[in-house]
Amino acid sequence: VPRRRDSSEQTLALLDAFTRDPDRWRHGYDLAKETGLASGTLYPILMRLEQRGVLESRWEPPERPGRPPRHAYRLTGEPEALGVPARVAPKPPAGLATAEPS
Amino acid sequence: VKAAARLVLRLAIGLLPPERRRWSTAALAELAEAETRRETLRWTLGGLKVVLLEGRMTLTPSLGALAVLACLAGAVVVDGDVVYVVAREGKPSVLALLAFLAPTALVGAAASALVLRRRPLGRPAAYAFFALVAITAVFAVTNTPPVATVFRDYNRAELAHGYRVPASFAREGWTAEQVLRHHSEERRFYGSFAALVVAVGFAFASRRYLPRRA
Repeated sequence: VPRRRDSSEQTLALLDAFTRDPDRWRHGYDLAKETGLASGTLYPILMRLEQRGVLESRWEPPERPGRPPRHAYRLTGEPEALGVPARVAPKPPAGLATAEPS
Repeated sequence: VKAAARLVLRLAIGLLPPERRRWSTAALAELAEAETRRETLRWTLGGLKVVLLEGRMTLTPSLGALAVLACLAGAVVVDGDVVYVVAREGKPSVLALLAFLAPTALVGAAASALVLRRRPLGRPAAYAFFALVAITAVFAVTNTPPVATVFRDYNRAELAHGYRVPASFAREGWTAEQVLRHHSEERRFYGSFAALVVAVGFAFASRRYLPRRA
């Protein structure tokens, strides 16, 4: 079975960061900080994930005067529905009981 | 450091066609968030990688154009002394040579500017540059006037001003005239070869990757 390109460690780390708060728009620098990925690794993955429809992107106006508009990214849907490996599916909040599949 | 990094990245992005700048621009925007010098440098290097990735083959004509401009500048630096010495002697051969080389240099500079600005006219201009370089190379390699005349005047001027044979040549018994002729041949052959390689590469890159005229 050919290895899925989306299953690289770096991609999984990035998806993991997205799935922690799937509705939030994220920025490249914050994602790099969170995952430890260099920009030269991060952006090619973002490009690929957007091309595959896993992520959507938008330009956001500058947060402070003098700063350029920022490119932001968000998951387009439920991680599992997008074929994201189960390992990075969002974990339920601590303290909540989860029903085991029978 | 951040201003310099931003400038480098912005210049690199400028080489990309406008429709292929989104991700590189995104990386550039995030550079403003870098907190330390180390982070800035790392982010910039990564940004340059994004430029290469986003540009892929579309960068090739721009790199070809930059190589042409570097080649033109290199020719001035390497062979400028020949023109200077002959002009100082008041020999008219230098004017003939400049008139002979001017079309090649002007077409090369114009073709580079057109290709860097992604103008379809850059393609025929690159071909014209190649044709002119090929003609110039034939004159240089066969040592035909005005190339031959200028080098003859240059060698004579150097001899008249007491040219000293370098020690490595003197040890082998070379005369000043032989050394000067040898250096002239080297300039003509290697210069022609380098110019031809750059012109062929530039013409090929423009033909292959530059958009055709609508």
